[in-house]
Amino acid sequence: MEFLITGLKQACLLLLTLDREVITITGISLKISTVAIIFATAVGVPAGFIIGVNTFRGKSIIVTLLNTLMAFPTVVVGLLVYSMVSHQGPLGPMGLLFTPVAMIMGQFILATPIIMSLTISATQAVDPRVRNTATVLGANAFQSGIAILLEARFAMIAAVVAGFGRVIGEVGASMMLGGNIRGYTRNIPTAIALETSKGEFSLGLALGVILLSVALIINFFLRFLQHKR
Amino acid sequence: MATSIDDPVYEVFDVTKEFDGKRILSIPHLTFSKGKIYCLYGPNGSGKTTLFEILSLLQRPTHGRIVYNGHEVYPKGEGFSKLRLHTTLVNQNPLLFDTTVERNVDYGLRIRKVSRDERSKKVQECLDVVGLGGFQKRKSRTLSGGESQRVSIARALCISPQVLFLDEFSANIDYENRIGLENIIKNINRRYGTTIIFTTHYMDQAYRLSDNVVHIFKGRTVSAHIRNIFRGTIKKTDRGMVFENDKLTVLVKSPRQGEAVIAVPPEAITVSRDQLSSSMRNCLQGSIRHIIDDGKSVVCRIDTGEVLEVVITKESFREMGLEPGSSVYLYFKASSVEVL
Repeated sequence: MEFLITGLKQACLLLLTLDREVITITGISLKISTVAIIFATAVGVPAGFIIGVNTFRGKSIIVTLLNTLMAFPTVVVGLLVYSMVSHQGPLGPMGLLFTPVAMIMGQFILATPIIMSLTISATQAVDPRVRNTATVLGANAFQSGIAILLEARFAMIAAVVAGFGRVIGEVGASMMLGGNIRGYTRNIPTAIALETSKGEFSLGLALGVILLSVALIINFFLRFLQHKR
Repeated sequence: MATSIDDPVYEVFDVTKEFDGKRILSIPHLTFSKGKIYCLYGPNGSGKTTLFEILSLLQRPTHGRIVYNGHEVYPKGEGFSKLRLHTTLVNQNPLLFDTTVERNVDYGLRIRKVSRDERSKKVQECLDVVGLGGFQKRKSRTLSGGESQRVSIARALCISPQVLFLDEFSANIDYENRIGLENIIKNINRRYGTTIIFTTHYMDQAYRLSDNVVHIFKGRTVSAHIRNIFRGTIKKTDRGMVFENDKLTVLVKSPRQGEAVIAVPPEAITVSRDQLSSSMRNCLQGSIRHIIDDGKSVVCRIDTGEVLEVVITKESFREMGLEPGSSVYLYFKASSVEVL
């Protein structure tokens, strides 16, 4: 118990003094996950929207597949991307292994199915009369699509936030693809894993507090949006 | 039925609609004139909504020709996009976008790239017309049913439509609000010369509000007096041909037997407080359920097992001293019953 209390005390100290190491690690985490989410949103929202508003053969298969991918084990994603970017892989010559780019690729693959799947649900939950209403007021297909997107805006933001929540705390893919290089690819989850294995609880705990705070901020943000409605 | 030829905005020729191989609409010819108010009136499943959706471009007809302002919309597709910009529809349960009243009302103008100043002026004007001036910043979610309906009418009005379609616009609204909406609609028609086509299941509203009532039954336009429509079977008896269902027995003139739908024209029914000796072979006894004053005459709904509508002059209505609950006899000729 003693070591836990000491650890907590030191963690508070690290946070209060804005420890360089803590700041660097947090910065890397936020940067990589944000870039990954931007790409995942750019792909997941339009694709989810198109699947959501249209009816076609095989749609339910796609939705089931996406729901399965939402639970994609992070180490499997790590393995897949690793096989692509390692020296023998097709992207080997680009030298992406153990770089932030490889981590972004892994996180992108983790977040896209979540954003896509939740976007499909969000657009399907929009009242079908929205499209008709826009159409009878003179909207073309694109404009009525925008009307549907606007009606689903809160659920869409929730989809993106859920994607971010998934990648900011994942350790498997980041460890395998980033290599946990200090100051370069060491993010919060990989740092916590490393520090804990070294017995350095204080840094691990400080980073854990930051990770929890990020989750808390995201939840407050969502609540705020819901209240604003 | 609308047969006026002055300045037609819509002309419908031999339009049919089939669904799963079954014909649900068949309109040989129908004309709608500019600046008039039309009502499509008929029971549920009569095809009035189908016709309505075809005219407002939400459905394609299976066959036939529709001309809008001289452009052949179907089958050629001429003026299709113009029609879409010049007409609009307000639904029975209108959907308001999840934003402010202003953003709802100016939606049509925003997608037409109208400037902000012009939009705001027009929104003000349209909200004033529907009696909701000053509602611009209200969130659509906070409005009552009647207010939502009026906002949706303002939103439709905002794009200055040539033709405004209103689908059962007062179905879920109390009587007072219904009359209020009718006045708004009349006002829109007078002020902007907008052609208005609406559906309703209130007969009094159909006649009160429109210049022409188009009666639709079983996917066809039928002559205006066909109102008392009943389903049953026709059998040959020693009294002649008899139409029967579990509530009504009526002598008819019909060449065929079996399942049938009949209509008893309200004007053909004679109402009496006492039993008459008459050459009219049908006599039903019933009590008055409902009385509607439609201006020139009085429409009574009489419960004889089935509810029949009759039209009587105001004079005889007064003379007979009729009121809800009065017991009356209805007389009509077997030959006046239409077998549809």
